Amino acid sequence: MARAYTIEFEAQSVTNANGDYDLFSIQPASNKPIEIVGLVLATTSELAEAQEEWLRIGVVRGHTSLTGGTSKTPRPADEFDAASGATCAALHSTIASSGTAVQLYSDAFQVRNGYQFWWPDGFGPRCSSAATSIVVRLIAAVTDDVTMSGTCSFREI
Amino acid sequence: MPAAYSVPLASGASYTAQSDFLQVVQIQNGVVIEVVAFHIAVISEVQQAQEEWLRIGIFRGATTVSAGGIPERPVDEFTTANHINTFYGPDTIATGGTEVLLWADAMNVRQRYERRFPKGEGPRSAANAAAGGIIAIRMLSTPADAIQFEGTAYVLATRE
Repeated sequence: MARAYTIEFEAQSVTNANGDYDLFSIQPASNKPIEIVGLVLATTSELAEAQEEWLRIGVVRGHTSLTGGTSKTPRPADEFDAASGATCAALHSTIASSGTAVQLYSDAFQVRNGYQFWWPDGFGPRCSSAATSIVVRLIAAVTDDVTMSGTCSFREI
Repeated sequence: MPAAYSVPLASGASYTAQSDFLQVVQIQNGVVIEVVAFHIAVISEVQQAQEEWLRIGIFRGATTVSAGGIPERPVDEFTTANHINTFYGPDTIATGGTEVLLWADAMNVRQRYERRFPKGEGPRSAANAAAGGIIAIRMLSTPADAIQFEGTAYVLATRE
C-alpha cells in the first residue's frame, strides 16, 4: 500500500532577484518510486489589486543533480508509517538544469487566490530513482519579492 | 492497463481568436481516449480592467488537426508514448467532419479554470482522425485582447 508524505515551507521569502525557483525537489530512493498527488501554495504578502500577478509553475522530471535548497524531512501522513526513503528539499534559488528533463505539468495561479491542486487519481507526476529527481518549479521571477508558504504531498509507491 | 498522459498545453503563444487549447486523437486501433480533467490559467490578464469571460467548449468529430504538435507525457516514465497524438491551435481550430458539442462552459480570465470529470464521464473517442475521432478543447470566444495561458490536460488511453 502506498504511503503518503508531505514536505513544506512556511513564510519564506521568494525574491525577484533570484528569478525562477525549484520550490520542491524529490529524489526517490532505489526501488521506491514516488507520485506527487497534491500541491498547495500561498503568497501571503500580496494584497489588493495593484499586487495582482500570475505565477507560472511546472513539474519537471529528469534532472540529474540539484544544488542548494533547504533539506526537508518528508512527514508521513500516518504517524505510524515508516520514514520515506526519498531525499527532499525546498526553495532552490538556482533551478536544476542537468540531465534530460521533461516538463509533465504546466499551470499558473493568481497571487491573490493562492493555489491548491490534487491530481486526478492515477495522473500524479511520477518518478523513480532511474529518472533521479522531480521538481516543482516556479517558472519565472516574481514581479516583486513575495512571502510564500507551500506544501507538496506525495506517495511512495 | 490504461495509459495515463499529462499534456502541458502550449504556453507562450498569443491567442487572438477562436482557438483550440488542445486537440487529441488516438493513433492505434482499439484505443479509447478519454479527457479526464484539464485546467487553464490566463496569465496575461490581471486587474479589473482586463476582466472578461471566455466561453469554452469540448467538441468531438473533426477529422483534421491544426499544425502545432505538443508533446504528450506518460505520467509513468516507463510507459511508451504510443497511444495518442496531441496538437494545439493558436487562432485555429480542428476542421472537417461533423463536430458535436459535448460540453459548454465559460471562465473568467482573472480566475484559474479547472474542469475535472467524474470517473467515466469525460469526453471520449474510440475513432482515429479520419473517422472523426478528434476531441478538441476550444476557446469559443474572441478575446478582447491577445491572451497567453498555461495549462495541462489529462488523457486516459485504454485498449478495448
